[in-house]
Amino acid sequence: MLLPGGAWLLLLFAVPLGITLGISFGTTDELGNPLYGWHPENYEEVFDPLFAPVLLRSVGYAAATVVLCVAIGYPIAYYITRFGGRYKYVLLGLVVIPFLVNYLVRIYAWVALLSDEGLVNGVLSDLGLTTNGVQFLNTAYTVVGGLVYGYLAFMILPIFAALDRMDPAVIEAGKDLYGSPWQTFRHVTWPTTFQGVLAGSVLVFLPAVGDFVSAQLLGGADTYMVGNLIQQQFFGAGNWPFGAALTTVMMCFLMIFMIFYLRSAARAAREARA
Amino acid sequence: MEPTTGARAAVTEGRAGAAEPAIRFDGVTKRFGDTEAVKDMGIEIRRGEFFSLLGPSGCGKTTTLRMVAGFEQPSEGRIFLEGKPVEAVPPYRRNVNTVFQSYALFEHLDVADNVAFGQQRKKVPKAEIKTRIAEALELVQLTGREHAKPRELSGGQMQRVALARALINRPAVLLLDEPLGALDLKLRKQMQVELKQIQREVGSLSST
Amino acid sequence: MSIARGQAGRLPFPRRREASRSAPPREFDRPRFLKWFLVAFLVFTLAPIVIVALFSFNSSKSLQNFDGFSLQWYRDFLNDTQLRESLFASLEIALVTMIVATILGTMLAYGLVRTRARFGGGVNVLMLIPLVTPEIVAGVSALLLFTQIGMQLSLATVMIAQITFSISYVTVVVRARLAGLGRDVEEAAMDLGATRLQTLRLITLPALWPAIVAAALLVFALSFDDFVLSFFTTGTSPQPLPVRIYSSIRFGVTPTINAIGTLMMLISLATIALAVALPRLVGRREYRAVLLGEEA
Repeated sequence: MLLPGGAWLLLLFAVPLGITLGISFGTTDELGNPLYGWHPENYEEVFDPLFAPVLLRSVGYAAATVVLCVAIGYPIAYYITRFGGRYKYVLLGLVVIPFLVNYLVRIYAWVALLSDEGLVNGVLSDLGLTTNGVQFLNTAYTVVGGLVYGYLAFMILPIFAALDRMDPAVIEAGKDLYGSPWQTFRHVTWPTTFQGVLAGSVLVFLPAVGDFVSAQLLGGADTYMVGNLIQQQFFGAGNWPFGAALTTVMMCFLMIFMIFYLRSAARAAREARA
Repeated sequence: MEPTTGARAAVTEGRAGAAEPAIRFDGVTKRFGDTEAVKDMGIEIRRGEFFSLLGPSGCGKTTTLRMVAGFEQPSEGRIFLEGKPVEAVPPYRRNVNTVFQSYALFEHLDVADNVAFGQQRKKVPKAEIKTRIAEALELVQLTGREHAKPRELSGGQMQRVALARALINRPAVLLLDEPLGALDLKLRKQMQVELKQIQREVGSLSST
Repeated sequence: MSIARGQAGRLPFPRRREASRSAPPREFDRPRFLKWFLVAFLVFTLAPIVIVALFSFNSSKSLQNFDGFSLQWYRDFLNDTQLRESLFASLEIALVTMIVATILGTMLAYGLVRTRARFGGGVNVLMLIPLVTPEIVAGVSALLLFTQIGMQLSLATVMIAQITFSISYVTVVVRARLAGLGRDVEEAAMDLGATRLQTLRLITLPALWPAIVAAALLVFALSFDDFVLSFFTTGTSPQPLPVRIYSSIRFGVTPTINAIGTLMMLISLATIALAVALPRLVGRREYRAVLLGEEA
């Protein structure tokens, strides 16, 4: 029973990853075709001062995205679980529906809105607030905004689940003990739901780091992320082995995060049982 | 004698004059890794006997029943049902029916289809099955509930469906796993009375 | 300790606000602030989509003024052979991916839950990794695989790549349901005379059906909307719709994209709506059969 599915995954998922690793050490011939070889300098090139900022920027954008998603997503989930009542799931549905729409279409919507001929500029000029139009696109803010818009649902759902599972009586007890709502939140609600926040963070951070759609469509050369870099290697006049090296580095980096997360989750589960 | 909590019962078909014991364990041991759940068990249960296994939880009662039903194989020793060895016989070919502790009713089938399941496997003609279902349900006092779904039934009713589902096949061996454990006291007393009644009517249960 | 702090100086009723230490937003009457936050959120997230849909019916090219109702962009879209081919390509890919991934994923789920094979743990890990792999990594490795074995990029390569990444979703969904089902019911069936195959057919699959259908629809939606994987593994023509949209947007915003986007939106939402509504529809049919005394 296991066999067909397992075999498929093995051949078509694990093996390609191995190939990626292999190519990453290779080089190209005159025509640009990748060859196998032993060229670890591909990896050195990854950290070259030319490219390192891109890596850092990717991590930075992704981190900013996570923070924003928590800041926006948590209150939303909180309101829905605590004050949603009968409409809890309806509200959740409403919140989630936009995210069922194709990511590309959603980013496109923002491009359309924020471009120089877009609706926002149109409204602004009609209101007389601007003459030449405001440059919205091509900034770090729009790129991060695009990322947030893309992955927010992945943060809201785990937090919703964690909050929903909480016994409201615990919050009441906290209010009795701590008096102020802020203290209750800090000492009772937040720690209890932290695992949910962590799960959401992982679900947002991992794809965000590798995203290139947002940076490509909403940003420009200054906002390049590692995903754009990788994409260039394979579709521009790029260097496939270098692209493979970039991919591998990114994958390893994310794996480290995953391991940290899994350990934290396992520890939390153990403590919950104790 | 009353079956008590934690009891497992094995009930065997009464057939006058039969020589072979319905169930025979010969030096049966069952190991799970390093733990010995059942150790060197030798036992004979004759036809018509109502046999109860009593003991604290974890002492191997369920394992023993599962070995009779065919879901576990002994690590050592042999099991004989109606005189024949059953190592090579899978559960679906043994003349044994089990009433599970969790009842294990088929949620997507109604009561009638649940009860009929065993008979359908034996390819009994439809008209005959209908009659037998009616008999079985009358036995457990659930006549009229043929089209109910398991989720609409109470715990006691579900158990009766499970019982009917097993009894309808007239097995040589009927296994009851914690038959009364999940019920409250009043219901338990009621079921004990009913089991005895069934036994008297059908002749395939005998109490000791 | 906190409890002692809480008790000292805090009587049951008065709730002293620690004005100096709490952040200003918390001072507000919580439901009111949060409620408007939610409203603002919904407006911000739904507005872009609604606007795109709205402007897809715009009679002019403008993105700023709605000049009148027209279906011209939809007509343009359907008259454009390339775009039409892309639409059908996307649907075809999604359909094949759905079928194959569901079958493989269900088998995998069954194997993981019911078998005691020694390498079960390894397969489990192998199944989980795609779920946390960033799509770009998946895309790159798939591309490398296909080029290294000399396979031409085409719809087939897209399908293969998408199936690989959809299997895990199916397995996770089906496995959850299967585990909830419990071994008891299957053993009861065997106890009553059903062989393993019969048990599977008569008991397990019918009980598993809602989960399988939900997983299948999920795969369809994910595949239809997929961009990154398709981007790396597609041939030149036809290309899946999201890839075409991407190329178009690179050249600038045109109203036809509004139409395409709205259409895609409708298909995705319809699929999800179906996934949610189906269990209820099926339930009603079963109920009716029972009422009319039909065989279940």
